[in-house]
Amino acid sequence: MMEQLIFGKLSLDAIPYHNPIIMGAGAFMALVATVVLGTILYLKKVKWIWTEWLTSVDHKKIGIMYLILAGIMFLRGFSDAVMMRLQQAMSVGTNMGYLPPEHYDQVFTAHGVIMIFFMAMSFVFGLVNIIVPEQIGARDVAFPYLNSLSFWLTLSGACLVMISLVVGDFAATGWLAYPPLSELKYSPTVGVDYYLWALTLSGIGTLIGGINIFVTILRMRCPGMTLMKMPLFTWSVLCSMILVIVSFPVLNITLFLLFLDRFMGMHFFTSDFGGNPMLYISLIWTWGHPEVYILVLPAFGIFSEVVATFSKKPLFGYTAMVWATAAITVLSFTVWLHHFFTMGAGADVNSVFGIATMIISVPTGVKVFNWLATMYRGRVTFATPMYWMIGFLITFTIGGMTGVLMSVPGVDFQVHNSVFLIAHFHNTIIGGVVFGLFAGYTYWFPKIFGFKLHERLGRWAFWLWITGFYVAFMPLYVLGLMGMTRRISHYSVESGYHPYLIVAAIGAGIILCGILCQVVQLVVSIYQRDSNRDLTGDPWDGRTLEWSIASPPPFYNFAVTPVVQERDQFWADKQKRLSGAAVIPPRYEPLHMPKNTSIGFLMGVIGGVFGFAMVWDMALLSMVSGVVLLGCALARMFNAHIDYTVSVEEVSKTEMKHLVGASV
Amino acid sequence: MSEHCEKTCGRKLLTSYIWGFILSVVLVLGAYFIVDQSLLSGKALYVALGVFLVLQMLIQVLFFLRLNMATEDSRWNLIVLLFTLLIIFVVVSGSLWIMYELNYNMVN
Amino acid sequence: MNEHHAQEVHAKVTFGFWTYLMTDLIMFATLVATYIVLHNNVFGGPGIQELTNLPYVLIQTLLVLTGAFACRVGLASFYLDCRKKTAAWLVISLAFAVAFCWTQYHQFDVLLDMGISYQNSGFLSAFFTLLAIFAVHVMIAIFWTVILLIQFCLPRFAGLMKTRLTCLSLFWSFLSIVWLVILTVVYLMGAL
Repeated sequence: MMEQLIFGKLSLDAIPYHNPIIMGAGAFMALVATVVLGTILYLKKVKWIWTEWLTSVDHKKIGIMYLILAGIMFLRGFSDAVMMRLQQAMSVGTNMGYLPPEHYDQVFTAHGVIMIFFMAMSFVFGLVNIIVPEQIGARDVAFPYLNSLSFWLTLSGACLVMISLVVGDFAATGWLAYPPLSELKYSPTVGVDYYLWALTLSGIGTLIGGINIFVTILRMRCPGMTLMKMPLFTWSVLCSMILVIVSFPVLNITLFLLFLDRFMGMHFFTSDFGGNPMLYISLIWTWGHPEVYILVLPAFGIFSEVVATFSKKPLFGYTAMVWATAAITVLSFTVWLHHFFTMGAGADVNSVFGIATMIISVPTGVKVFNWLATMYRGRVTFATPMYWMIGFLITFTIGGMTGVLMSVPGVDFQVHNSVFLIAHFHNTIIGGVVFGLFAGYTYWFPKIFGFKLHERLGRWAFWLWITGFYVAFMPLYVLGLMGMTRRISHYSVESGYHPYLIVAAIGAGIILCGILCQVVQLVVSIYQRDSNRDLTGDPWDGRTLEWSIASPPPFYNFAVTPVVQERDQFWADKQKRLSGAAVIPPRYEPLHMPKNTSIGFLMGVIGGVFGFAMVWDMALLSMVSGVVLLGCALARMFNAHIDYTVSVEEVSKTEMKHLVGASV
Repeated sequence: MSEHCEKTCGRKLLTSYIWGFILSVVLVLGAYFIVDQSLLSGKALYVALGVFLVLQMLIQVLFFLRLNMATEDSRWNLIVLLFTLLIIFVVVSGSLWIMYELNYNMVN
Repeated sequence: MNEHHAQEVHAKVTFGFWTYLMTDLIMFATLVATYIVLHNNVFGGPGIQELTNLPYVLIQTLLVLTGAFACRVGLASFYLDCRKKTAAWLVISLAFAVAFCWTQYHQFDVLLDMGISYQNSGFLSAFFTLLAIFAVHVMIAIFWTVILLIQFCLPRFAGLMKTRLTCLSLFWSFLSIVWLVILTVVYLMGAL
């Protein structure tokens, strides 16, 4: 009885000892964790980690932690991709490959979940967190403590997914866990429960984060920065956060209803007792479609910044770009049925949503033409971010075109759930989101860390990535038209798929080389950081406010809140300075900054423990961790002193340090 | 919602709240009465109840939330609310339409 | 300068809380849509007509509306600098919230005793979940009011009270709106 209360369903049997792949991966994770923890302990940096990172509410630090999480999850998600490509290249005819089907199913599920929720969302939130307050002349986000909480909740969700590899199993249902397969009857193991709790924790974190950035942009812009003077990255992020605010509640409640089905025997989406599985599909895609725009809009914003900076021209058609982004935001809510054209809705419903899908490509096209027009007659410099820009323009456009192709329900009936679909969405996600995030990463790296990334390795990484992408995914378009379904772990020789899948596997290998280049680039850049230091704060001759402060910025960002009169105020100021206008010495005032707090970290960790306990039906641990969670929240509510004042002396001292460094 | 003047606003708020409460209760009793006494049926009943609901929403927005176009803060709150209502309308009506069509195609 | 800063923070927090309420509104809208889709899936069991007790639901409605009203009068009293009245009205709204939660618990208790459970059909799952999640939100209002009453007596929270009371009264408005929708869509339209 006591054992049941404490351990629930958990036992040593949950660890798959007989599976060498999983045990190898687990050993690798344990090794990395040990090395990291060991290094911290050896260098006696425990207090430093606690005060500078774990309890930090500084948006820049939180952003860096999001980026690190994204990098780690990228490696895990890509490993899943390599495993899938290998399996599909091998398992033809009598060869069953090296992954049994139930394991393969978990691999493609984990790949999707990790890449979307823990790689792309973390990467986006990382860049957004660091850059948006700097672009609007603010000192932090609207709610710094909630910002910290969002990150730690997301991290605990990611940890649940990683733990599921070695303790129990993961969902084998695909990344959206359609019922009735995801119901208890057909997925009796803890896999789907891990899925639900990981996404619930990170979903709450993301929703809070969306509200935070939304309020920041609307309420904390510096004086003079009206909405139509904001940089376009900030505009794109505003629209993306609007989508987060409006779509994540739908995801959270839908997953909760699936949890109720599994945990309390309810019948929302079961195939009997009056449940309706199609309701889940409709609701989950009501979130799912805005989600892809949540990811791609910030990427579009990054490209707008990059193209303007590296063409030394203001962005062409700023107003049109803003309206196009707003149109995409609203329209993204009207198209979700195109993900299930084939599932019985009938011709009138299909045609309405099909037309809506076609319409949404129009504002996107407007943006593409405006980016091209920005480059036209500009003085274009080809630094690495610009390479990603050009790669994006070609790759995303192709992906978008295949999307419009599938928006015709009749065509979609032929290619739905084939690898043609896989190729389309990877085309847009890699070409759009991933290339955009890489462009943002190389563009803003000097601002975040104070030194530039190695240029040549960056260019090699780009060429390997783009070549690898086309080699890996163009065969999938052909295979889709030949009739190959998605998510299959084995096929016959007669199907003729094999040669194409070998090519696709080679493509994955080329991308792997690109990723290795990026890892080497980071290591080499850190090693060579002194020779690549950004001393001026403006390594690319930028146009927006984040380039007006030191690299990396002081903890308060702006010693004096900037006053803005026009778009690209920093660029205008530079031109005035070049033409000999006088620089007025700044007058410092005391600043209000938020205090560090451990509550965000604690609630994240205990939230993760709560999720784990719920997965394994550990009643005692669930109750205790739930109570502690409430206690933490109460502790925060009863804390009246949450900020402090930075004196004028400290501000001027910090500013002097940066100025001295800049003049060296 | 974020009032700058305090004492005069307090009195204005109180009047607004009392009137809103009275109207709200009257509307609830009205809707209840219609259903309980079966005064209407079918489509007419649905429409009437919908109208009552919309009126209740207006009372909430005008008397309690006191949203208006006057202050900038209030304007933003109103915009956010209207956008949310638009999305709710699209999502709920879209979902209901889709599910109804699916059921129709499955059952018939 | 400090007054301006405090006003800025108040505006920022109330706007952030308002935005959060919008997300909660969308969550409830999804639940209501789910209920509407599933409301005929009775799987041979009882439908909404059998479960509706109109007088009971009317009482629940009046409890919610009065609780919200009491909280707002408390906020108005706070603006009028009547601290005792503020606390008194908050206690009144607390009482109505507790009463509502009790009525909801009682309704579930009676149904479950009769063997009518959320495990029996899609309709019942949706019915119980929608009402339970609403009741949980009222319980949050209860906890919140208790915390505010405690903080009201502690001088270090004096500057934060205005914002916290404003947010609580916004929350009550939100609860009223959601309940009125539930009343109309689930009970009044269902009682045909």
